[in-house]
Amino acid sequence: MSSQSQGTWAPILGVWRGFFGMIWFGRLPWGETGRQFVRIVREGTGAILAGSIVQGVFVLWLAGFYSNVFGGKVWVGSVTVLAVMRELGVLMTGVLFAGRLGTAFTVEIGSMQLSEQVAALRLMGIDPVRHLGFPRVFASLVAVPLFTALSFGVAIFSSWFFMALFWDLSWPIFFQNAFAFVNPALVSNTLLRALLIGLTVSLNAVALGFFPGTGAEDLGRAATRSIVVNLFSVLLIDLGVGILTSVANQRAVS
Amino acid sequence: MISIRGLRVVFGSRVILDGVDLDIEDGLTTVILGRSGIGKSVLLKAVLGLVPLEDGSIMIDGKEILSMPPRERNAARTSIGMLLQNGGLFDSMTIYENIAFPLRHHRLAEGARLDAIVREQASLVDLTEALDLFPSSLSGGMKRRAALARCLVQNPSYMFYDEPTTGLDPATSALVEELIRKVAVERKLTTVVVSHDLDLIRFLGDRIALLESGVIAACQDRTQALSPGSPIWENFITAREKIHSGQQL
Repeated sequence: MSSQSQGTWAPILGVWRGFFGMIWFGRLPWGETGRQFVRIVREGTGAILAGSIVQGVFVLWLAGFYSNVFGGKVWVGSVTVLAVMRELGVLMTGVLFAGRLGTAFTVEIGSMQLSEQVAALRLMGIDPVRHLGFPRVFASLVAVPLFTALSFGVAIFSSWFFMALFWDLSWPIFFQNAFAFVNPALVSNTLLRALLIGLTVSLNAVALGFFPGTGAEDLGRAATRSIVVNLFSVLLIDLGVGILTSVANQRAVS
Repeated sequence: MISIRGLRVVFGSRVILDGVDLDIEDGLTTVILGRSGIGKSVLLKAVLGLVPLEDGSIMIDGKEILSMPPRERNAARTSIGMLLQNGGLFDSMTIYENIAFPLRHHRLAEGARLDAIVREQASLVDLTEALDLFPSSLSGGMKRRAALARCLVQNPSYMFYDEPTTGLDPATSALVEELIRKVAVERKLTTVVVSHDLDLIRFLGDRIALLESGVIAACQDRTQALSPGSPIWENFITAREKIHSGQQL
């Protein structure tokens, strides 16, 4: 694989094709996948926790402040949970994952390409995409749904905590109706979005890492391209799955 | 023996190799000479499949490898070890882990046997004391020796060296040259060295090939190549004197 820059889409399409080919033909690199999973959890948890606390405060500000002004504190919990589980939790997790780990994948593999470490793998008869790329993708597929679940918990808890702190809302009142609108369809929809985001962000990031151009400036460009492509991907997946689910729900009702 | 015929490599609109013909004979050390940027490293990488080929044929031990299925082709290519210009050591691993990596990955050895092989290779390149260090804390010469040890654990029949002494001081260069010779003799390796270091050429080269304008312009035994009047002598070895005295090459 030459490290010449090949634009944005050619490497991405090539790695997506290879990924599904490998699933089809088996022989998944489990050991390296486990190592990457541990690393992703170690490096990503801090950012997800911090982002989720901010997210909780953000939702609290929208839901708590107005319900406190206009009455209806009893519904603050359900509005918070719905906002976090339906939209913000997975979106925030996707954005943080793309920024914190997607870019790291691109730069890491890109600098290995430039310093001939990828060439060294090929000389040992090892497929670098299989060895470096796919373990990161499989680990992300597991990690992003887990990060999303963590984000839900932390955002909802932080929301209640600040609500209790500023507007004196007790635990039982907050959680009285909190999960009233949570149903299996909402959970499976969120899980689908988390899986799609994990797959897309990691595959794109890995693909762009294998074509970093020829020097530090090109590698910088590949990193920028990675974050831009992945942020758009996260937004499009969130929007696309949201629209498809709404259409399906409307058809089911009518 | 490796026979290269009509090898052509193009990067974009730039023709790097334009029909290279070269025979790499068993048991000998072939040095490929040429000016910087002429495509010497690309030639080695093309043989190893690290850069895409436009055209040509490569026979390794009588088998045309380009017509083989990818898996067989990769297996044929693992009979060739290559010391890359930067070494290509994995910077997240210690030198021990780097040397052990191909054995572990291909499950060729484990436990005490793996440890013995790693220590034997490290001792061959005189790096026993550096096994627990990371590549970032090694000098250029040590990195190349570590990378050589990692190549040798796969027991190659051919060893390619890409500018093995570039950027090294004369003493370290001499140590690397000695090591290349020692490895070639002890392991009975067929060796190819890409270089423009005249001392290395004189010390190691059994056969010397000159790469010019994308083709092998001459390939001769050392005695012939280093004789005044030979194409290699006229076009490369005395080039510095000619340029300094204002002559055209």
